[in-house]
Amino acid sequence: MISAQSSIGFSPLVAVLARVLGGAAVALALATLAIVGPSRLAAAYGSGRDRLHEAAPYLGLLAVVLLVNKVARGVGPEVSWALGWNATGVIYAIEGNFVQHVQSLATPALTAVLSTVYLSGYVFLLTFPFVAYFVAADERPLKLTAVTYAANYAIGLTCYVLFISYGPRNLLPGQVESLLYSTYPQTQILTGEVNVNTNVFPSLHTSLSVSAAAIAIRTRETYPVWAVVASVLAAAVAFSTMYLGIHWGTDVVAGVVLGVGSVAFGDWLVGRQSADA
Amino acid sequence: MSSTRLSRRSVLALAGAGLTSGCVRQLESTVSRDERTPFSLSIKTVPADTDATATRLARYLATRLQTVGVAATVVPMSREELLRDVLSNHDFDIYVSRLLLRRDPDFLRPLLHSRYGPGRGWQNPFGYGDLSLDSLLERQRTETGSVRAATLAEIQRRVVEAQPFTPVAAPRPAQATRPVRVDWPDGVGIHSLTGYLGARAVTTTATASRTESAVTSSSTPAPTSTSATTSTSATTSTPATTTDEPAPENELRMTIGDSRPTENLNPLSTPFRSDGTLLDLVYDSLGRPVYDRMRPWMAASWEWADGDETTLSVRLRDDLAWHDGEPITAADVAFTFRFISDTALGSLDQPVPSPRYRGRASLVESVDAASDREVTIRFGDVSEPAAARALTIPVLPAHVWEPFARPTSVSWLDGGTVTEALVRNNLEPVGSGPLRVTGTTARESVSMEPFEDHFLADDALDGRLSRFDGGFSFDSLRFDVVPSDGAAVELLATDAVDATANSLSADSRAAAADEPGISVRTSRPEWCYHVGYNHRRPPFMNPRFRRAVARLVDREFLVDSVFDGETEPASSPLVATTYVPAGDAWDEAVSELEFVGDSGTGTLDAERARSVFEDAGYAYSGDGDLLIQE
Repeated sequence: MISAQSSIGFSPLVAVLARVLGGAAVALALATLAIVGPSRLAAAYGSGRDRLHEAAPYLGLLAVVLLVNKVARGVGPEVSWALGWNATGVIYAIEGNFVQHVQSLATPALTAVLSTVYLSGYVFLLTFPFVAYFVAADERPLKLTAVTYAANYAIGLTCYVLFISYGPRNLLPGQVESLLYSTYPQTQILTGEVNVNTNVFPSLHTSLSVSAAAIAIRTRETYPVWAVVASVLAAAVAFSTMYLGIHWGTDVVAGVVLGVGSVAFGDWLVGRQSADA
Repeated sequence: MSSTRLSRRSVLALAGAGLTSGCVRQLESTVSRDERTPFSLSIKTVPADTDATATRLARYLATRLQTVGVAATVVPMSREELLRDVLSNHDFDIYVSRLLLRRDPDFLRPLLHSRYGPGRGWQNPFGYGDLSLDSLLERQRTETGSVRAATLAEIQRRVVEAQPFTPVAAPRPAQATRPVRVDWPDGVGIHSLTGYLGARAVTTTATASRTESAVTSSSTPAPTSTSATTSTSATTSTPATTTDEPAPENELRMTIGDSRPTENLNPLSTPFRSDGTLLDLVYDSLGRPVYDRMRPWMAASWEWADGDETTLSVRLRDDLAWHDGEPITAADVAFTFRFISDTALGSLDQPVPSPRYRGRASLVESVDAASDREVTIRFGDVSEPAAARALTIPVLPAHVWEPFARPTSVSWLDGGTVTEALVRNNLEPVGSGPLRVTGTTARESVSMEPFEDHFLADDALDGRLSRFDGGFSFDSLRFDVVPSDGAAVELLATDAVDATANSLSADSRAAAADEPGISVRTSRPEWCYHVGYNHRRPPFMNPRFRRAVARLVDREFLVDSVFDGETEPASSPLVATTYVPAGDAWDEAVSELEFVGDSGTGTLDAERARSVFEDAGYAYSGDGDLLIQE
């Protein structure tokens, strides 16, 4: 999906973005047809406005958190450096060369697959629930998804501001290879736009994927295939972050805890709101 | 200059710094008298994205220190934060970084003279102090020829012996370019003032010969530009200024790895500056080293006063202008020297000098405007070659900088009294250089265009500068920030940029070599990787300890594994000059610090290495931890 020899002459950033989002969009379209199905889509047609109205406060919360996230990432690094809690050494002391062992499995084919999972698979995993739950009869999973994502971002961002931590590829050059960026250097131009390299603890890729999978398992009665797909994909995303040398094992463990905790928080909030109503 | 005031300030700063830590130490020693504790330390450096070579050196040192029972942790930091901790706050145990090498060895004086220990900037960040070295450093700047060479040999022998810091190696900068697009001048690095001024767009007729470009690398020690044979013979270069049609595409597009210039273009800033090449384009100085000789630049000419070798009369070129259109006069030059010595311009009790130029400013006693176009510079007891360094200080417009000569309250990150002039980001710099900044986007890009009123823009320049006739030959110059070397090579491969300003690491060089149409050019070393010790903290004030650490460094192995194999290992910080001594005394001093292990493999002889520390007076716990007296 991502080719090392890009023939596109214009901005490499646009080219990479088009490939990543294009891949996710194709997966989204296919999954919508196969998992949601035309009959559900037809049934949901007409009631869209009501569903949107119902879920609006939750989606609004997510939008606000994302907006704050965007602003805070600009000033975050300066606050982090002023606080000066550099966790990189502590994390390395905890887990040592674990990521290096993970990378001993590396093959070119696996790198290609996991790079695709890390970029496009992740975008698909996070966006499909909005389509699937929007058309589902029960609107609770949609609210839960929005609140859960918001919680992930809010807590993740707090950690990013509090701690400075560089990933294994930045501390251990020569031992841990920066597989994604050495195989597809142009992708770093994209991820560099989205992420700051001092923000690796915890892995938001992992936590959001775990949240999406946990909610998918809850809704397995409605979408049995999605429960399986989401679980496998979430595991692959979490693994890819280490395999590609981007995250430490510690970041992934913390990401799993954050992902599960965020679902619990979402349950509590959505449950309370429903009870009030 | 105001040496008495300065030294009083130094003493106060020392006392202030010593007070708090001293109290804590005293408290500790009463709590646990005579207790020795396992030693742990941190090695501060930059992450691999920024400079993989530095990170790998730091990791190398950390693992070897662990082998000898020291709990060493590598702490990666962003460039500016590392410089803040090392140069301003002096908050570090050990750091690994680049040291900029200057052509004239006088750069060692501010680097190692004890008088600069309490100050900020690249002036003795180690806090090293050796009075006899101080006097040697002062002496060499008054000497010339073989007398100076002898003094410099003695200085280097002492520096090797005492290891105030440990030099490792000085790589040759390697930049990649597309020869079918740009023809670079021979004999200089791409990312340099002379490189940019000499760059010419290649005419489109040559674009057919894409396959002709070859990737080569130089192994000769003389300054060379590789691949020059291919690019110069295959192309006819035409200065863009002669084309008739407007060519909006005629932009020189560069990548930079360092995003700091997109957020700060202040020539006086310490944490935001490294080599300063970008600002060399924007700010002119009285003189410029052009192909190794100091040439009059803003100056039309200069001459030493008869019978007085400390007074230089400088005549400015006519019709010099600032980028904002204001005329440049001798008063601006006089202002600049006064300002960098005290950016508060006398408004505070203590002078607040610009840390970045303290070494060079200290050569000068006074600068006076004799007329509108004439400046008289009085040097202290300084020889001519050393004095010339002062002429490279960027000249600043008085009307822009005067309002910033007041203390700022936002200096909480830098400590001490700071003026606005030292911390302002200056994103719309008013200089007088051949290029003018037209815009910056934070963490993304810096754009420039030729300054049409620059003296180079007129033709008919005298002899040596005639090669720059017409000035910068493209319509604009753009620096795009890239997250890594690899991404830079990728952009070059897709023809999104014309060359890299950032020097490529060994890995990216290899990747660039595999790309068709890309050629890698190397130039002579501009920086030296080194390990810096904080002599303000135990046990680094002990030369025996530093020497024991220095013996963990296997330069032969590092040159092969971390550098590209062609890199010159460095035992002396003067590695890029002709002053590195030869002879038995020098060889002996160097060999005393030989790697304790199997040279060339990086494998330490743990037993022997520990005994080196024991010989230096340190003991080990039963668990094998190195103990130090807290």
